[in-house]
Amino acid sequence: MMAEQQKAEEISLQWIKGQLDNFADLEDRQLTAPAGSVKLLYVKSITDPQIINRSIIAPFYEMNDPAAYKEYLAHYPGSEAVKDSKQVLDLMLGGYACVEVEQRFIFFDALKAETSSVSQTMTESITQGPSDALTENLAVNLNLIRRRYQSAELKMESMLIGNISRTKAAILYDDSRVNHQVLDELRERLSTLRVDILQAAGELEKYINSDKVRIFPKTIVTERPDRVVFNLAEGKIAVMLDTTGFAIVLPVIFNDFFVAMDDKIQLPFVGRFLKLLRILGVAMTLWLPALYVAFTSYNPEIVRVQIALLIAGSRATVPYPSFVEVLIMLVMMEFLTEASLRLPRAIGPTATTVGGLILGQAATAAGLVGNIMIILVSVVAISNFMIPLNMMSFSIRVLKYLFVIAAAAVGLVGVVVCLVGFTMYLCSQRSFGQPYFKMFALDRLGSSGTQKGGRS
Amino acid sequence: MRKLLLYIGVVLLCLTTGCEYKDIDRRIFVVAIGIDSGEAEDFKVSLKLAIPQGEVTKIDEKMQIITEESNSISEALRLMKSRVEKELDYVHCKSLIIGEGLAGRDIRHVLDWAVRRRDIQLILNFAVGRPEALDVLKVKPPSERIPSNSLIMAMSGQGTESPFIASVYSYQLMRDVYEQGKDPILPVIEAEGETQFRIDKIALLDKQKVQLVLNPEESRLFNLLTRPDLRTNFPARVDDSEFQYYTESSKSAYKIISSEPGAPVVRYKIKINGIVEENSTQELITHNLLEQISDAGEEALEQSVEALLEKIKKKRLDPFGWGLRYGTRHWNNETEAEEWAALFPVLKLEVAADVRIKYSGLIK
Amino acid sequence: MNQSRYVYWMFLMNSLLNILNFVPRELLDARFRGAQTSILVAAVLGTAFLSVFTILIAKFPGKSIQDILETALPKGLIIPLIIMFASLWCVAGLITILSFVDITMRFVSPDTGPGIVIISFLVLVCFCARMDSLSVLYGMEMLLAIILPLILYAIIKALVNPDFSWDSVLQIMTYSAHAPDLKSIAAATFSFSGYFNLAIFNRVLPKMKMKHSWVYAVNGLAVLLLTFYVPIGYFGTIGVEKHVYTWFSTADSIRIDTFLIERMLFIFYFAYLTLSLVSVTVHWHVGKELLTGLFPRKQAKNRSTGWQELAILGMFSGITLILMRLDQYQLNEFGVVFLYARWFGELLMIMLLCYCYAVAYRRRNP
Repeated sequence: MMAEQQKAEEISLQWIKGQLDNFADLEDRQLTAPAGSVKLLYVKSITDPQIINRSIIAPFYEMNDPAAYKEYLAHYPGSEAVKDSKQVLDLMLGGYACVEVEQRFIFFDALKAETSSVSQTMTESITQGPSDALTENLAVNLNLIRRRYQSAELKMESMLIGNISRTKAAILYDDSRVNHQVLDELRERLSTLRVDILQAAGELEKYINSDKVRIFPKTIVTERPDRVVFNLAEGKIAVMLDTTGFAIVLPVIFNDFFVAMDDKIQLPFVGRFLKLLRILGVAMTLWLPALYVAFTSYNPEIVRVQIALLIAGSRATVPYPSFVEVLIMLVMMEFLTEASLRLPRAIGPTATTVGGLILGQAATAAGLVGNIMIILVSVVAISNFMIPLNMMSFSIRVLKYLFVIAAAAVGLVGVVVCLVGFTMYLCSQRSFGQPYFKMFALDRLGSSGTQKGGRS
Repeated sequence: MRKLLLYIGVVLLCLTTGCEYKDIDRRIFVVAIGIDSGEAEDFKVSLKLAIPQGEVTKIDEKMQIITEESNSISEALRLMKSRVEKELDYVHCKSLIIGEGLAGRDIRHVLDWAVRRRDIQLILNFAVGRPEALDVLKVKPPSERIPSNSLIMAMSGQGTESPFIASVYSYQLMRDVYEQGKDPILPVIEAEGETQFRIDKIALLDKQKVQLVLNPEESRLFNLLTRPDLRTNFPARVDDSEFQYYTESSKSAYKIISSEPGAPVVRYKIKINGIVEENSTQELITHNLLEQISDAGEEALEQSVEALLEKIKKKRLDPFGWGLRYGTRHWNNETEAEEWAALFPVLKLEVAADVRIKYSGLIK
Repeated sequence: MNQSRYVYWMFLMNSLLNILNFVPRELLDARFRGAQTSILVAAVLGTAFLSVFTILIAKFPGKSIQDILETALPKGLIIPLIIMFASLWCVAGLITILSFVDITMRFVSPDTGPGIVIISFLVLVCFCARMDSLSVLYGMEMLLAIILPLILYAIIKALVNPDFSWDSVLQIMTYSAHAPDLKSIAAATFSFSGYFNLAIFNRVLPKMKMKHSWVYAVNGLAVLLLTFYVPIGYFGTIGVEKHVYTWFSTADSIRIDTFLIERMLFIFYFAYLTLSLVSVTVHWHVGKELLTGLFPRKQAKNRSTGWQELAILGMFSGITLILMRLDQYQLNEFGVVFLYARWFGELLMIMLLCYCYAVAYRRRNP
């Protein structure tokens, strides 16, 4: 008790006010009652006036006894005694009210959190299953997770990231399943992180990955609490930030990006089929434009003669080489996608329809683009969106141009070379020291017996 | 530094793009080649070119035929290059027709050319064209939507399953021309006017040229002997009524029996399951009659097959590969070829047909 | 299963790759003079080599061939040995590349210049060979998983073709009563020599064990027999020798009725291009690792090792580009010389390993 007081003496109200100079929303009040007076200091915009009224001001006048009031404040849950001057500022900016009573500073938690309530998922919709999304409030998020993962093994560590934004981050993991090597690496990377502002989960994702050139996401950024829980149970780590509705899951493997949460709900065969569809979709998006270029410009001998003649017919009026045609249409499609993303919800679909249908029609009618090209571009666009996680879907979207360029340079050979390079590159990637892409199925095959025994 | 290198790489890649670039619409596909013996020079080469059209919905197939004479096939093709505005592309060439006159002299030159050229497929259909290869190329059936498609479909057996057509790919022809103890065959395509062709004859070759052309009836029997599950019909005559039965499944196999003293025997076994398809009288088909039809069919089949085999043997041709089969059963590799050559003239041919007609069709 | 499976993949890769160029040609050239007995002998010898080598190297878990040699041999001897082995691997890779460029020119892109094709191959291979050993293994496994179904499909399709001439195959079988000849054995054992890559990969597979060697024998024999008999079924006993790339011509003779692509050639080409690129990557990775091992080792992967790797791979590529000038027959001769050299190299390596093991054994139990 004494030690605390001595430390607190270093800080004066005046000092705090000096630090928070030019704060228009700083409230500085002196409450005076017959038995004595206290000083109250808080930042109005992030404190809850109700809490201030009900828990700080009203009791003071009712009790009319500064000593008892001090005890009351000091033992109120959420109030803190200070340790050093730096913490004082953190608390003040974190929504605490500073009360000076009998030469002692007590910081009272009066944070007003403007939070949206738990809402529906927006970016990862599924047909069945829970539709809660993570919110922008860490406490609510933790609530969402804890409710789904009722295990004493679920550990949580918290830290502050960002010199200015002071974003609260929570690291969640299942202690009995997590790979501690990965955990240590994550802790190290987070603690060495030097940024000013951290606002989004994706941003953190970018900072904690070490490699300079990255094409593929190495962590999942998700808004679904059930995905977080599912991954926690698999021994992964989740990092959650206050003020963003997304969590980061790591380490991940390539296949994780093709798991939608309703795969678990579907019957096993249906689930497998859906996953296969997605992988097929990726293959289509990556290859179709490239193969079109290869088939029309270098190797028309590959497809059967009937198809070759069809392609030749549809291209009869097109005045430029096939890869220009492909690039034009693909870029057009990207415009459409981007545009409909940014447009208000009400007119988004209109833009897509108008753009997609009319533009395609007109382009073929004008003879600028072949019919087959339009089909192809639509297939590419549609299959691209089959990937459940946005980060990966964007990566694939960009990567297909690489394939197109390779095909334009050397035809089929280029496509195959690109495929091999792509696979090898994926295999050389590591997510937090763990392999990113390999035949995981075969690894499990060897040890399946022991695992089953352990679980049952 | 690295980024700079990367950019340079990308720029270079983009620059190299297009230097070897030939779009599909700058190529013109040769779908069929016809080779005749020329009037002035050795070869008269005709190409059937497919011209793709923009409107898929319109049914009008466009094609072009160009002809050139020269002493070598390659020279003729080079000459033709200057007669079309686009690059001639042979990768989709699916049929090669050799004129009857040329086929009666030597096909090996043409075969060698077709197999040696890297852009011509090994699954190219070879055929003999009558009266000339050019006439066959000119045929344009009204049902055709893609140039030369009907020829491709018919000759590769993808479309019609005619029992008279034997499809021969260039790799097969190549194999049989060089194989010891087997002689090649070729289907014969006859042009009938501008819109029809007829493929119902098979030409038997020795290693070099056409020796014998089978008539349609014989061609069908030939196919029965070489192919499983030939879909066709055969006649059977019981008393006065003429029946036709359809072969649901057919199987034929032969053995060369040379261990016994005396001349070796080639013994064919043909097994057919059939359905009655046609009945010339109004007679009710009973079980008994069904068996009679089977027996009659057997007998008729045995006779006609034996006649065919005798005819082929008389010409000293071996399209069935008897000699090869003889070799597979004998380990004296140095001498077996001569042995077989000595045995061939005295070869005895036996045919045992087993026709089982199980159903009378939908009515009795 | 866990780590030993990579040995099997390495074996399978080589065994499937043998179809590419020299092996079927050598075997088919000797089809009337004991190719078949040679195949049998090679199956026995190959499995023996494979088992002995794998068992021996598994006694040194986590060590590459260089670490092993260093335990028993003087330094002056190791350097020439390693350079010799590394050049073997370099040649193994470049022969595959050269053959494949030739095949590409013949079958797929006659219009594209060979220069750009070989450069795209080389860029890819150099990029991939620089990855760490485990990644190379993962990638190899993944790509094998993609192409194995295709190759199986091609082989099954080849065998069920009604125009397949079984009589020709049987006829060749009647020629099997001949003494095996050395050239064919050397060619056929190539099918088994995938294990040789363990010389480096043993470093990352410490738990690798040699099990089920009969699988290797059966598999290798089956692949060799298919390699030998299938082209005969398509081109006959005599016509078969007329084809340069026997197996690609065979694939060209197979038609797929019900697919976008009609010619099996392209599916086969796709599968084999992938396979060859992977195989070259693996071979050059081994060659590169052997050579970088000669330089004094530094702790971390820093700039200078990066340049070393690039220099070595650049040298490999340079040799490849120079050898591009060989014509068809010279390349073939070169390939045959390599087949022999490789075989003797394997023999030498096994003997060295035996010696090293004996030394280690004596040290442990004096």
